[in-house]
Amino acid sequence: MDDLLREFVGETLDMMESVAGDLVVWEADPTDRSGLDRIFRTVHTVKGSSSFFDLPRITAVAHAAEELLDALRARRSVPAAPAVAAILAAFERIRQLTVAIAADGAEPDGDDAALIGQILSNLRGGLALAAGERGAEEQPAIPGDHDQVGPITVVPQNWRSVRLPVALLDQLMNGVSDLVLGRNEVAAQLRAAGIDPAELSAFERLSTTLAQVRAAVGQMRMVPLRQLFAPLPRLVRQLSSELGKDVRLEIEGGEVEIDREVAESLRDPIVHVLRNAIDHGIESSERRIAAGKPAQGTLRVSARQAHNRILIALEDDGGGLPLESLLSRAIADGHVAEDEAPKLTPDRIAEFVFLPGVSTAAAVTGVSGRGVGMDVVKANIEKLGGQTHVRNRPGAGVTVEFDVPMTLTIISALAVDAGGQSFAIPRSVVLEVLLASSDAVQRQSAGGAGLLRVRGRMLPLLVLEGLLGLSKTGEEADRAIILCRVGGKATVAIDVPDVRDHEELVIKPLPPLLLTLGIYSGMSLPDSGQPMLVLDVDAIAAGSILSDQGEEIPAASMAERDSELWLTCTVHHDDRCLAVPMTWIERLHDLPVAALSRIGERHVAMIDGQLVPMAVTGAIPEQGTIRVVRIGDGVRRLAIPIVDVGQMLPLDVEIPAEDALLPLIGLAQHDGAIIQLLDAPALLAETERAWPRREKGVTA
Amino acid sequence: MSSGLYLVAGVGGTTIALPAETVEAVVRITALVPVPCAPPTIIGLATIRSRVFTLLDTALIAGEGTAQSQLMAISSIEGHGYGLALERVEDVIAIDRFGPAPAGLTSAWAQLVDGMADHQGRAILLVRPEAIVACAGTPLGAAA
Repeated sequence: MDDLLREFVGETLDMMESVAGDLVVWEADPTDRSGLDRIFRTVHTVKGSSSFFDLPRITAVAHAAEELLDALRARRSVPAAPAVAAILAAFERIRQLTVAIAADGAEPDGDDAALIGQILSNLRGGLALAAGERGAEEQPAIPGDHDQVGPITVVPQNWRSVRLPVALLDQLMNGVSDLVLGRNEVAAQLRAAGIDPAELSAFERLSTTLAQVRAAVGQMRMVPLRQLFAPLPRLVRQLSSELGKDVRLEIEGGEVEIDREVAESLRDPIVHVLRNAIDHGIESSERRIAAGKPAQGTLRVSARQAHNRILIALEDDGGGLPLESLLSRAIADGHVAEDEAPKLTPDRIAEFVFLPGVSTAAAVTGVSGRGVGMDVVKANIEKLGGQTHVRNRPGAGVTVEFDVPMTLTIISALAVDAGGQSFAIPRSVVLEVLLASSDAVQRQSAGGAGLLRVRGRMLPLLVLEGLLGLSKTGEEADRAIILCRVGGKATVAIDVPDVRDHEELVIKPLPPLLLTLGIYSGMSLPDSGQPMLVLDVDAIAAGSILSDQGEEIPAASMAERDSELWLTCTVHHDDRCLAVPMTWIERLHDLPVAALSRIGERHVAMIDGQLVPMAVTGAIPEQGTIRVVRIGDGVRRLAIPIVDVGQMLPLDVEIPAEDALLPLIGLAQHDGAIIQLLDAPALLAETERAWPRREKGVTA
Repeated sequence: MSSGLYLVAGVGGTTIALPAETVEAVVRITALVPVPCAPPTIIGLATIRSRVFTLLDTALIAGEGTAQSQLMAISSIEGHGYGLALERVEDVIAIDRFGPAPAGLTSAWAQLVDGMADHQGRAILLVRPEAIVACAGTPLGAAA
């Protein structure tokens, strides 16, 4: 039995225990709504989890119980005894089935139709009694297996696991963290006393054991996402056949490990979004064919780890969000003033899917409630300290992204000094460290943006003191440049006064007050005894890439800065200015035209030994070199031929626009020039369609 | 309100009482490291015995203007350790009863205060650490 199912068993048994108590309390005092709400939520959770694990019997029983509870919730009178008995019988059945799953790892065969019929008969019959009538009626007893139900059913313990309070695990982890700190301190003191800790065998043994214990403790709290994703193919198959859709599921990044608690909490949101995507996002095969799409819809679930964050993207290639309905709903509910509506970007409007007002099917007329319960999804993710984003591609699909902080805990990091204190940059994002005085790097500035040219690549350059509002100290010559990978795709250069060394750091989570600054992802207490903040390079790059002017940046303005960053380019097609989203850019290349070959209407380029399809942006010169911007999403790649790069700008779509050659998100303007904002994901998707299958093989 | 022990401390010209069970210790502020880009209500990170605390400027959050505090009360809220800077710490005393908060508090204080006691002729305002933490992010008094 896999770990998550094991957790489901334990959790469900616990819940059935407590919920039966809640039900009795509520029966005694029907005015106490909180008890009933709690019961309802519990049953809803069991229903959701069991459908996730494909346990149809539990799902069906829970569903029936939920319907009855919902009906009871709508009334405010004393519940009739048979209704309560029916719900108790449902809990007992769920408990029995769960015990069987614990023993065999699967639901036993059987038929719950009689029980479900009995539960649902309460919906039609007397739901509740008026006061005074209580107990006056008797209904047939619930057909259940009362004879098999002893007061104590022994849960088989053959999976040999125990459930522990998370607090105890946290205590253990904190203890191990403190041991690591203590070990570091002892090592420092030994060195100060002239003893090399490496030569002290007892100390070495201690270090080795500590490392093993640390790894074991890590496993206690961590679980590969693979386990969370495993039931998804089955779920998608089931849902799509129920809804009469043809859907294929692609999963990537299952090897990412996350906190067990986080994995648990991600389950419902993921299922919810997938369900929405199948139900409302992906069109019927006929409509897809009519829209020029493959008949089969595609759902893509991908996870990646960006140092201290986990990003889970749920992408469909359906029809996109009904922006007009979302907007009119948001206006109707007073979230947006009517005169502000024309100023809203499509991205902003797409975010309205998370407003509570659009959570019912009736609210979004004609599109059957796209966004059902998305406010709940968002709230669940926020409970984890995470964020939810939605990217809408009109007619081409929707991507919902969960961005969840990792709570764990020991990372290898680069310590950098600035303004008299140290900061940590997780080594997982560091690609390379260069001396600022090295001949390999060239600083440039364009339109106020700092840029760094390294071996033919043009990278955004951020100065650490500028980012942090610290005054510059020290000599320029000693400065170092750290190339960091951000968002799993782009690279930024961070110019720092001094790099100290690599350190293994125990990372403790930041309080919400500091996390919301959007600059730090954790804190640590290294053996210096001085607290060290871990820089959230992703957030810094996304939020403040243009603010390295050495001025102090007020925290508020950093938080508000949410425009995406774009690199402007001139392209061959005409004199137009194209902007490519920074987060999709992998590299700039200067390629000899000889490295291109023409296949039909299109070109492919040979870049670093790989074949990369070229986007069509106009005529390719006959000879010489050509500059290209390479974009990619980790799987698909594409080179866009350009004349030259312009500058990096935060831009927002002002009006939507279309173009025959390149898919656009819309138009923006800057300094009087009109800039076309490239729809990078659409371009990648389009290229994949133009180069089916074979392209996957060559770029893999 | 129930009777219990309270840590009595001064914030600006006002005397406050923090419920003793919410305060782990009162310690001298040492090893303070600033947090760049943080709002002024966050003084920095202070370290006590391998634990790191986010040090909050209690006086500034209460709208009293920033103060040079040497001491902090440490308190854990939702798993995070906070230090609440205090200008002066008087005593731990038992207070039997808190009445409602007085009318006419400044808006910054009004967010923090949960009640008032008349202790031997002195007005003492009941303040819970979680209220101070909750107000540190959006302080009304911070601009003052």
